Amino acid sequence: MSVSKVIVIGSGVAGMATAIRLAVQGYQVDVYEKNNFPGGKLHAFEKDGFTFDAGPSLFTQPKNIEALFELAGEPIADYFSYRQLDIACKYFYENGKVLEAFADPVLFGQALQNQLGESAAAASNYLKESEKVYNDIGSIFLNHSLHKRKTWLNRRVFKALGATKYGYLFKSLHRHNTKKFKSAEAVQLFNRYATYNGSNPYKAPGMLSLIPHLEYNEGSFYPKGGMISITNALHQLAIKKGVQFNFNSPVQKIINHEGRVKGVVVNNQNIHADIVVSNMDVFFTYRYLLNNEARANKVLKQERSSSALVFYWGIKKTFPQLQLHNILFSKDYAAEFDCLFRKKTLYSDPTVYINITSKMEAGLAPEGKENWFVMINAPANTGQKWEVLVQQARQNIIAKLNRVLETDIESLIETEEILNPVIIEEQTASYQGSLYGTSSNSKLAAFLRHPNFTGTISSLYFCGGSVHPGGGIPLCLKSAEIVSQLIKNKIRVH
Amino acid sequence: MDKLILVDEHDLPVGAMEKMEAHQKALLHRAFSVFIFNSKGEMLLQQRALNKYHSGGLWTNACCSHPYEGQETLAAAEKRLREEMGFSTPLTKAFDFVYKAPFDNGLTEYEFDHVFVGSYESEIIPDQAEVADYCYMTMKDIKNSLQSHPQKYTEWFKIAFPKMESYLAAV
Repeated sequence: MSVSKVIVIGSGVAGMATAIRLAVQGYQVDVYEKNNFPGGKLHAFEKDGFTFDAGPSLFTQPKNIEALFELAGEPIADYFSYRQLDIACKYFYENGKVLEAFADPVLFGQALQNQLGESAAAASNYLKESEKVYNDIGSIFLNHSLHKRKTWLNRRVFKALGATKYGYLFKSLHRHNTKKFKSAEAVQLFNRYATYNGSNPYKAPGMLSLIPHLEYNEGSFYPKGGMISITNALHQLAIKKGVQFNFNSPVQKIINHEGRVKGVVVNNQNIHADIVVSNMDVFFTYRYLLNNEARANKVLKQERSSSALVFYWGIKKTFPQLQLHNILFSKDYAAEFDCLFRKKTLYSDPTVYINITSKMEAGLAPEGKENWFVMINAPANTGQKWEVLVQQARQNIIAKLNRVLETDIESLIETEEILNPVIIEEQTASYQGSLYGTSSNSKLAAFLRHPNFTGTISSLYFCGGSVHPGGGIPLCLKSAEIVSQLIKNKIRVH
Repeated sequence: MDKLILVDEHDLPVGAMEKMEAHQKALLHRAFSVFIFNSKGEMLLQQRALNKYHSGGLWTNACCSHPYEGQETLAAAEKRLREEMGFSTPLTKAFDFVYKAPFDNGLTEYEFDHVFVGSYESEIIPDQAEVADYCYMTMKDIKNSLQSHPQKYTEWFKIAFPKMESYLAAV
């Protein structure tokens, strides 16, 4: 019998992880990628001697990557290395307060006490609860989510969540946090975790308080060479396992014959496959590859997660007061999220995230200089006038940096690139440029993401941030595991 | 005598045959199995009656059987659940798969299996001729138990359980 052939559409993290898992299962796997590079949002570029990670900048749960190498029987050390951060993030507030979020829980508690007047116990209690929520709900959230047509499952998970703790589902993350902390600064700090999947802390449920567990209790890490090393490691591992990559090869259509996938069309040629896995946004997969506008529109009923505006700045000076991850908070967080999610525009005093990988190793920026990745949250693209918004945002960010860091940042910008939601949408086929698929702003949204299969076409699967279980690197890798298990178990879903 | 529905690999009917003969000749036929969960997400297991024609005394999912000629699969599953376990609940089709395995008594099971799921947690009054015992267990406990005590479970359940697990993970 000939080897079954799998085509993976898109070489994002989830697409490559799926390709590796299926190659290990013995399938012949071909990846078709429209860009000339692998990784999707997780890529990098060089400009004027500076190397910039283009997209995701936070690395947690390295065990997910390790699991892939273990499965493939390859020594991870030959491909990839990382180290744990001592300081997860440094926070700057408009009132002059500064907080270093130490990985060490005792040091972190002390910092909260000294800088924000919180009791040291408040933080450790919060993180203990965060771990408990993760263990209680997280497994349901990740492993037994549901989709809307399966009411039996809906009831089951709904009740399971309710039984665990009513408040986590019905209270917002913000309300949850105001119960746990006295200071507005600590509340803001823990509200921020809603943005890890592009949601609004004033709407998204309190169960998102499980996210800090991953950052503090399990730790955050820095991959040697920057985040692009994750892409490179998976790409090399996939090649080693026999996966064929085809770059500059956009898939035009998925061939569907009588409810069964038969292959794809690339470059106007039919390419046969027994199984097709789409790592493309599920909305675009339905709209463009399956010409199924009805299903595409159904996916649209869910609110999209936020997008981002990123300025890549080569800075001709070093800033010793900054860390790898830095947050300069807005003064009025509620107003900022109201702008992003209700008014769908940018806020005049945005929370600014600065990521500087040249702090971690030499060679990523010229001597005495730094590679700044400067990001603010942006609404999903619904046709806003981005050229105007970007210029306004640039001025607002510069004013904020000058204020908080007491500098004249504009005169230090040696080189610049800009990424906006329109470009994100174009480059990575992410509908509206949303970074994490659908948002978690309604209490059940997390459980309403599109499943990893479709009931109408057999042997077609979906992975990546736009489908179950959700956006961000760890969940994308989880989707790859789920898809490979479905295929391994040879079940036909209707 | 009611006959089983013989099908091809796409589940299209190709004929009908008496149950024992189909199992002796190892011909592909239509079958169903039902998985029931309570609100805690625990799965209902039944212990097959000791004198069943195969796998007597072993633990398995809520119920399994075949639709007979002229029967709708879903209706047959709901009827069988009522007869065996003594309760009714709406069932939803989850997935299907083809299963082939020889029994130690010379018969071969070769089924196109339709898997249904449903939720229930009220009273259960099993038919004692079919069912020796029942219980609810978490997916995790079942998984562990399948590893530590595989001899307590039907061969069929050992194959079906991971499929249900992968299905639940994807929705």
